[in-house]
Amino acid sequence: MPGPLPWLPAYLVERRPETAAAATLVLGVPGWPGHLPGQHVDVRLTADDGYSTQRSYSLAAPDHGATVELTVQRVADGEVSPFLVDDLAIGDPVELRGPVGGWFVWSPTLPTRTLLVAGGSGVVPLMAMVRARHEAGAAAPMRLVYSVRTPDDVLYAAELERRGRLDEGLEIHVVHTRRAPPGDARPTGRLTREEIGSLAWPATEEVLTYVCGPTGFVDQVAGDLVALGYDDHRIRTERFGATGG
Amino acid sequence: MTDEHGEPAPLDGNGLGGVLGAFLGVDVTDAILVCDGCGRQQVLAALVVFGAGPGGVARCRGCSHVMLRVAEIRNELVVDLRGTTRLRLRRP
Amino acid sequence: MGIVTPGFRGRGRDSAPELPPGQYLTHDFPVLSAGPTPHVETDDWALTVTTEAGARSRWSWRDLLALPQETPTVDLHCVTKWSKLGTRWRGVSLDVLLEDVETAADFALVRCFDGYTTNLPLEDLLDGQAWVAHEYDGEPLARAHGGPARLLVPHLYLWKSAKWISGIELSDTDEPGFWEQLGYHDYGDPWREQRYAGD
Repeated sequence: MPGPLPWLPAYLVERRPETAAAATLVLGVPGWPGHLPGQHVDVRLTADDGYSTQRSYSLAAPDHGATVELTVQRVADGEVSPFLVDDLAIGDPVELRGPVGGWFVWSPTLPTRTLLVAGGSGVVPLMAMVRARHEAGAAAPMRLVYSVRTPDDVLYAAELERRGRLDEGLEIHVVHTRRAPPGDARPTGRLTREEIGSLAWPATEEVLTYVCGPTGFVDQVAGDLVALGYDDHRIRTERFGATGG
Repeated sequence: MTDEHGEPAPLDGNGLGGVLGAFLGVDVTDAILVCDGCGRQQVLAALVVFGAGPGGVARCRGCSHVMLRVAEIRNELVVDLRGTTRLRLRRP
Repeated sequence: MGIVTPGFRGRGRDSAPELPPGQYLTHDFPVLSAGPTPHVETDDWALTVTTEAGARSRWSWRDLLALPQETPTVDLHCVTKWSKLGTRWRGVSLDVLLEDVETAADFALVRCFDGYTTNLPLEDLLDGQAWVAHEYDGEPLARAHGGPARLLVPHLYLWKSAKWISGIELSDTDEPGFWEQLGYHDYGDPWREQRYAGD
């Protein structure tokens, strides 16, 4: 039986800029027990006077032993995210508790089709699933529908483009809500129910769905999927706050 | 935590997984709970969660009834389940 | 204490000598809520005080505004460790509201439009220590902060200053409220750091 989750020291090994407002932190975590795609961690920061605060961040990559990757979006005026994106120095510690979550998880051994729907930085845990599918050479079809404001906000843009081209059975659809790249035939705007219906498999197929993003986005998409006939019990959701970061 | 209108932005039960797991030693985000208010059955991960400092409040996604209250008090975790009629856990 | 992350300070946060133990100064006004923000129109608003004998007194919004108003400037201390100094409010003193209420009760259970409750001794609502506040910083109280009206008991931790107040039940027994049921302190004096039962 697994034991209680302790706070583990984690050291910044590498910081990779993803967009102007987001970076991936590669952290070395001695004793990391491993994790599944979709899981998250709690990160705790403590100041030298004892003040401490914590936030949850999704794991962006599949289990690679003693290093984990978190992609953090800088929240304007946030207490934690600007520090993590801009200031945490290579080699410096934070504390990490996890992996957390046994419901919003995916496994490459699942035989069913998987529909992933991301709003903004909700793509992070879904990217761990895309990457895990690639690393396992899994064959079951997967579609990622990724709603994002502008092309400049797309996380993992180059990798998504490459995976969409090279990974058999993987489809990537990026939809822009505020500004689309030149030549994009789709008018900008929110994902509509009709559009989700056209991008998703028919509800008659056996599909496991993961939706992650801000609360309003997830509620909207999950509601649309149910209205399209998707089984509520096969839709897994994870919501994060609009701010607080 | 607020949205652009200054309203509290609720999260979901996924976020309670860390603190519950730290005390229980198992993940319970896939536990199934039945609401005492409306009878709706839902996984803990899908509950509507309001964080309130040392405490958290989880409400039914159907009727907003308070199903679960959690507070980390010193070295104890206190869980109040009076809004839940049934809790089903999977063997780890 | 956890492992210190060099350079991490936290936001808008200073310690100050005039603060209760364990508190930090904040300059914004964080919103903490146990549920969705209720929409209460002032036309539908009412405050009901029920005595231990079952007698009821009721004030409409109009009644409330017709009473003598006070403008306290007070410090707020939240159990989540932030304090905010010199906040300016407008509202009606509980001394005024309870003036004609016949009671020998020792305790009050405060009820709110969202179902929230909190308990405190009746004497802590009296003697210029508590208000039903409906303006903050010169503006009508925002819904997120308890508008149209909230209880303001600034000498106790802020969870006692219940948002969206709808009633006060006076009683001979101390019935624990929403957080007190889980082990938050029945009194909650920030200067004695009474965060949890037993403190």
